[in-house]
Amino acid sequence: MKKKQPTLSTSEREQAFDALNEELNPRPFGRLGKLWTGLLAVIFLAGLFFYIKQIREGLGITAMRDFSIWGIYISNFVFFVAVSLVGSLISAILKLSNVAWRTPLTRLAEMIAVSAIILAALTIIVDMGRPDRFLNVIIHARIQSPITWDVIVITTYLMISILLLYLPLLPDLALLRDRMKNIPKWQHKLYTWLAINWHDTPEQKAIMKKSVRVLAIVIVPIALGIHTVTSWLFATTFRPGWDSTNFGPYFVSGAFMVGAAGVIGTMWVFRKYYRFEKYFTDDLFDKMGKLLVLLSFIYLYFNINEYLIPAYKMKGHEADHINALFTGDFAPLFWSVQIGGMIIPIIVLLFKKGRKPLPMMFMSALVILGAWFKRFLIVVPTLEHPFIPFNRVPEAWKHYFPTFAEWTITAGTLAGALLIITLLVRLFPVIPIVETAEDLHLIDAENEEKE
Amino acid sequence: MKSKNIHPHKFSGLRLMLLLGLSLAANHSILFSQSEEDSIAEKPTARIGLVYTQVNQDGRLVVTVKTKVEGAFENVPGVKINFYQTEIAAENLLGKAITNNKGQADFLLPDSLQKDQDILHTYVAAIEGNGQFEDVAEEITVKKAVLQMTLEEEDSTYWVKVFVGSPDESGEIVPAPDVECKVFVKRLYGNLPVAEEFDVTDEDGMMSVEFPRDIPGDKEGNLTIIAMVEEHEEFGTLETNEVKAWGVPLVINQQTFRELWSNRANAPYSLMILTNVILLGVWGTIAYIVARLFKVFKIGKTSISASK
Repeated sequence: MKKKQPTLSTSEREQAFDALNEELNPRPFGRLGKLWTGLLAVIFLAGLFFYIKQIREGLGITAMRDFSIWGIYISNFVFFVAVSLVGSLISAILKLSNVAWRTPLTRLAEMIAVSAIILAALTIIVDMGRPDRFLNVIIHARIQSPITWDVIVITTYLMISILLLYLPLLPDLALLRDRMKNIPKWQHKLYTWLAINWHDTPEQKAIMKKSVRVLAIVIVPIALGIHTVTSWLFATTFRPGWDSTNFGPYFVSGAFMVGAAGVIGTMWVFRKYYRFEKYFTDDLFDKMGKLLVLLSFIYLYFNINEYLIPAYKMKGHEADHINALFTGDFAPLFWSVQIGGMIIPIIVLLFKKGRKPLPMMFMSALVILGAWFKRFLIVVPTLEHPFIPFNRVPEAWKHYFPTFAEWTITAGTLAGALLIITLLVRLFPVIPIVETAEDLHLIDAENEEKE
Repeated sequence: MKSKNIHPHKFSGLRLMLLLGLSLAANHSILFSQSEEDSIAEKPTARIGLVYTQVNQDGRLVVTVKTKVEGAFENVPGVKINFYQTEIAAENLLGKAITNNKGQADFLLPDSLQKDQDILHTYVAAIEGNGQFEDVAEEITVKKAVLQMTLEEEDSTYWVKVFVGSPDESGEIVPAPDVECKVFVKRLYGNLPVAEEFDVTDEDGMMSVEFPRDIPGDKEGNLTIIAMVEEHEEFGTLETNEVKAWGVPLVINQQTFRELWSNRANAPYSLMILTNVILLGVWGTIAYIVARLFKVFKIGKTSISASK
């Protein structure tokens, strides 16, 4: 989006601002939107049904047993944590780097981040055999345990992400409160309540801008922390495939990659169905494509570190684990994920034609799909290659494959995350209205310039 | 102890007639489909292992049920076992038990059987009327026996003396020579033999073994000492145990260290300080931002009043 010089007259600027407002206001869903929301609700409820069954009957309805103590719930948790990092990438790292083209993406990135981190927290509870004992994790917390660190850092990251979504939303909330007509009373009340008497005063703007800047700085180490601590849940245990000092940056780089892909995929959806071509331009896709290539290369580098060194040494149990991934039972999935979810997107996105919206959408889908299964490959093969050999256990315990209940619950959580994004989009502007107007010089931005 | 596989008496008159009728009908294709025939023919057989164990005079029957799955035997849980005395007959039924996850069922024999005058006892464990398996039974015959253990200290040496005997026809206990018996100490995950080799009982039914003085016990030095005759041909498994303070008292080091692997109350100070500083720093910032939001609210309120 190119910045225009303020050559318009006051009335022309007001007209342009009204038009922008009209265009970016949240709008009621059409048939397709309702169908999409209904579908997500059905999948979410199906997941909820099986979760209630799991609470009643215990984790026995899953395929997790003595050896495969973690399965797709934990893979899914790691995936959600990874996706949530996109909030810090767009709202903090790009903001602090003064990247101007990030404006239309900030809200979307924060919405994705908030929904992903909420579902990450819920997925951990889903994995618990006795969720009624969840508070014990806090009441009887051992500060030495990475699980305690994870609980702390997830809560902190959720709080900061909500604030980073909410604070820049304040001017838009005031606009919605004052300008949106023909909306239900509850919706108007919601906007009024959330707008907390925002009247665009210089003091209010100054507080908001300063707070966002402080949060943008604070969230960076927290974002690195959240995924590093998640990686430590694995790396602090002595198991083949997890006993790695590379895990922190390996997880963080993978997270930025999938987060960026998530934003690109969502950008494409809004460009197509909300006709946001003016905001999610070809140029913006091109820039995000370059960013995704850069992040993919960094992730590729850590992948090489992660697999090449153990594969070079081929030590005992590590060798069994590597063989299972490279040539064994997990090889088809492993190579599909590495090639389909990383190498092919890198190659395609290196070319300008590959960074057009449609190919970008397909490449993002590949990256997201690959990222989900990559987490499965991090969790499951290691547990199937324990140091203490299998002894007198049923054959079924030696191999993990999720049950129908696990698949449904997992699908329910994924649908839940998309449902949160959908509801946020239904109620709030996807693209920041006031910030965009300021970029276009349709409204006066002097106050914050001084700030 | 003698055991053998037996077939239960299932050919009662009524059953015979029913079987004959079914056999005739089986030739009639209308009554029996091919798949039904197959399902009857494919009903698998279970294998029953039956062991008699006597611990401190309490006799019990332990059954293990296995079946062949893809060429290997697997334990079968949830199978109902009927226990009989002498032979399978309703009046001889002692009780029932269901196999656990390890495919085992444990049945405690009634006191009356221990105290009666019979020297030999025959027991039968049977799977009957099971939807999953064919009827099958296992029989075991055991001779009554006693296993006594005395713990003595002679000249600063601990001795475990074991007597094995069996009642004769008059009911008097007579020594049982040449019986292999062993002495163990109960540990957390199993029994620890107190010697590398053990003698068999002599003509007086006696066996002695010197007890080592360096085995760690509990805080008072208590050890559970076990004398055992394992899977004897006539007697089955006999066991007797006694708690004796012959062990080295366990001294628990009460000193606590602040380490990563300590309990939550003994976390290292460095870790506690570091995490709390980070927590206070980050959550302090969050609290500051939330407080600023209240300020935003107040400014808005004031600006409304001013504009009015």
